[in-house]
Amino acid sequence: MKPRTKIIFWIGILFIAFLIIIFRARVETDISLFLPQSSSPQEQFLINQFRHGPGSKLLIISLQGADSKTLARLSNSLTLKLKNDSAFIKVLNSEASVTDQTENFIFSNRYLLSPTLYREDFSPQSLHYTLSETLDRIALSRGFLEKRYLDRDPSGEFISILRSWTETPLLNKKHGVWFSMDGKHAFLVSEIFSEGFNLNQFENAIHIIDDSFKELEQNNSVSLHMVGPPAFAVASRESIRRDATRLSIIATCLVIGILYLFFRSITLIFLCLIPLLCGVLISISAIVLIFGSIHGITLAFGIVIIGVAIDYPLHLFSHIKVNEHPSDAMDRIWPTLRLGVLTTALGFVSMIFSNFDGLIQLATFTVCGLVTAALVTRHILPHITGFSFLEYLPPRIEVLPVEFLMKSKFIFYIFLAGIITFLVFQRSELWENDIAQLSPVPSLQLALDRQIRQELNLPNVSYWVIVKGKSEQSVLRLTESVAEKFQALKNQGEISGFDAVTKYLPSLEKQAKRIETLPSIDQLKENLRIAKKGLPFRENAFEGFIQEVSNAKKSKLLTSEQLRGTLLEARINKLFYRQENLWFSLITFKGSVDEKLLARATSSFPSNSVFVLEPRKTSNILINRYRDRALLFFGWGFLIIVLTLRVALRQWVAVGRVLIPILGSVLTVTAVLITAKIPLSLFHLVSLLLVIGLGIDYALFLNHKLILKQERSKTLHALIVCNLSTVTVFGTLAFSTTPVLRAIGTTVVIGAFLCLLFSLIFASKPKMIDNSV
Amino acid sequence: MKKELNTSFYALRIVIFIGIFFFHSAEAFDDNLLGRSNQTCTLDLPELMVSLAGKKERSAQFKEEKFLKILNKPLRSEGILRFRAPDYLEKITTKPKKERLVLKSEFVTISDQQDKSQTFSLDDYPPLKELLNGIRFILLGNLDALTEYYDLDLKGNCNQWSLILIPISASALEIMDRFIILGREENIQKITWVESNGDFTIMTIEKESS
Repeated sequence: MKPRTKIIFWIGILFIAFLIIIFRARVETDISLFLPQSSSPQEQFLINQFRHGPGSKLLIISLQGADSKTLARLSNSLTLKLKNDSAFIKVLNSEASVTDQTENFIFSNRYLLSPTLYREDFSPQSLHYTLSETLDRIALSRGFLEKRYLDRDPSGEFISILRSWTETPLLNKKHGVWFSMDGKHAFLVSEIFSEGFNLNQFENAIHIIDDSFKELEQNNSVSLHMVGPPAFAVASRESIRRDATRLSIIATCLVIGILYLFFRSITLIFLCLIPLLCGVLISISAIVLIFGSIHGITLAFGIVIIGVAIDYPLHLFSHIKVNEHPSDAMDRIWPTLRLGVLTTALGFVSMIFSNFDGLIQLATFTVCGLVTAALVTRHILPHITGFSFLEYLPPRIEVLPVEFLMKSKFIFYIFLAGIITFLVFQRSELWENDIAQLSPVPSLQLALDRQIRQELNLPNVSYWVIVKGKSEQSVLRLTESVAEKFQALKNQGEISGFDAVTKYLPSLEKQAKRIETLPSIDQLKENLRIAKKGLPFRENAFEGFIQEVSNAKKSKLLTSEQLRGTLLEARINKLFYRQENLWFSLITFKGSVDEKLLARATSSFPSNSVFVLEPRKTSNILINRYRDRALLFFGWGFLIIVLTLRVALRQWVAVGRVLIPILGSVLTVTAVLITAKIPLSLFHLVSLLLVIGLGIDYALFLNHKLILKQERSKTLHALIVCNLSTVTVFGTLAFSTTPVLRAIGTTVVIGAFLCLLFSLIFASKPKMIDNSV
Repeated sequence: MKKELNTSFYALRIVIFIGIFFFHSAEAFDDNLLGRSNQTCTLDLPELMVSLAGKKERSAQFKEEKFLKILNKPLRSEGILRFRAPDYLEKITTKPKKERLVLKSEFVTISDQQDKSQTFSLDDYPPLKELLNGIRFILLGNLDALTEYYDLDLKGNCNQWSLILIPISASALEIMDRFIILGREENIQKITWVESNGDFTIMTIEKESS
């Protein structure tokens, strides 16, 4: 193909990719894609909660900075404004008042729902006692609620249900809305509408809240704060984005400066960017075509990993001789470059066969990007460049103590042995096992979150007890037995309270038993006749009651179906759900609980259907297993790299010369990080992938067999430019305040520098004949 | 059946109202006879409100009778009422059992003999809100607030007046029918609260001391 045809053909491809991106690309922000597949029941539950649980989409809004009246008014108008927005499932600033429909539902099903229903309640003595006590209370003010139901529910089951459901003290309110105890903060709770854990939907909701607040609050004295998982997730992404933007601007300026210093040509600097940009463009469109959308994390990490492609044009430009067309220089370095690209890309192929959606996307992106960038450097770039910039030729670099380094292999081996010994001893410190440590959320925010949760009396999130089963009824029955244990603990004062689905939806068995405790109608009439003696009730005062008991005896038992549309449905959805063929029920606790106590209480049940869940611990295990699996695929990738090099270089010694420096630098980086008390995380692993990619190129270029001395000086020039620009970019990132960016930055800076240094030690001796110009 | 009960009860209610009116007109007649107040004075709502609002603090003994349609005699209680403008209302019951109810802004606290107390927001208990707010607005002489929630009907003169409040909102009407306040000058003598289900409460204020 003629160069011109190639370029036109290429522009065509880019145009198509561009069109695909414009019309098809959708950046996915649901983090669920990057969640590992779960195996243990705890993990399955946790992931499901994370994806679909209402807790992870709960946003708490706190208003402060004015007198309570102003805050309450603002809280009301904000609630009103947000309530009808489709971005929210619900927005509350006080308990949802029980609607008539729900109230009627509870009232007419009270004999199925009441936790305190005993046969003795209907005995003449007991009825007499209850009635006279109730009359006493009605005479006073405290009986105002009971008065309404006295004729139809004289044994007080309805009130007893309501009381048991709201046994924990109601939230503090002022002017009818939720307030902190000190009256300085007004609270609103909103649940964001989102499929999975979707950052874009969260961000949108947060913007809506901010905008509505600004519209309502004109004099700027009141401030609004948001806490909860969505707020934190969006804030971290925002801070990473801000940090990344700021630092990459600085890094770009620095790199342009460095490149100018080495090449003295602005045109060239832009030419350098072409392969990488093409790589990104093609990768994105490929991912969009294959997967339908691209995940934000794939995009961010993918660009970091294929950043190595910026080196390809640098190699080309550094190797051009005087009056030589770039194509000829390309022909010379292509075998080496090709091997480098191939090895790195093949290293990622193993990940494509992993079953993690996130890793598959990332690997596809990387392979596509690297291959594209290499092909563009090979076939397109030389023709665009032409002779245009070559007024200035890169200088020869001979000042570096290369000869000395090449003689210090022995020292290197001792050093490497030392590093390995160190790592063997420190292997327990190797990994960061608490992912919370990587959270970019400021501790001040987290403290505010804790305080607000306490004030709002939200359930304790450190421990849950989960009941799992194959049918709705079996889970309900099992939950009832477990709940009995906790009720006993509560009566002993060991726990302050708990919530379980069976409070609102008892098992059919339990409901049937409750109905059985109701006396026969004749018996009830007789009992009432005796009970009324000495009390001022009219003859037919309890007609309604008798009718209701008779109805209850014939009533249909409750299943989750019948609760649809009532306030109970919302309560139940938080505690009970179905996932494929399994049913899960969740028992939550109020106040602090002791793990051992929970373990003891659940020990008599089969451990795979009733278990204690510690979300934080389980999520750490989950992420760590993900990391271990990822590590396994990196291992396979490394094996592929070794084999590829063996095939290409034909000798194990040559493979060693390429890989030992890289291995050495990876191990040294790890040792440095551990010494600096920075345990490794997934982000460090991704960064090490980039380091390996860079290192392979360095080592291959330095190991070019029949290299001439003059050629070597050009290679050195290339490597120094490459290395310097990499170190600059990632050195800037190392100064980031975001843990993730800092992790990537430090790893790559140290790794890239060491790769060059160690590769120099293992570089092949150049031929001494200088037959050039 | 239920409807029948309601109608018969409604009849009973009317009888009682007539009784109350009769009793009070008789009282007024007595006053005139004794020459305590020779000239009759006219009264309109704003005037009444102004005179009511004049009293920033009130304290009086009360006797209360609750007539429930399922009972054949009323439930009785007595105690002391206290009011302090703008939003403090206290009802201390001494018989048949001790109880203290405090209404401060939107919050009601009820404590019993053992001083166990429960606090809740008026918003959560609409029937209570209707009643307590009505009383509060009257004591404050807040005509605007009253006309916002109730249709008002004032009868009588300054020596003896009666004010009938009928809730405007449909949701309030579901719970309460009306309440009727009888008074003399700036003093309140009797409050009758009629619920929609036919139950009603009469609170007689015995002696008002300032």
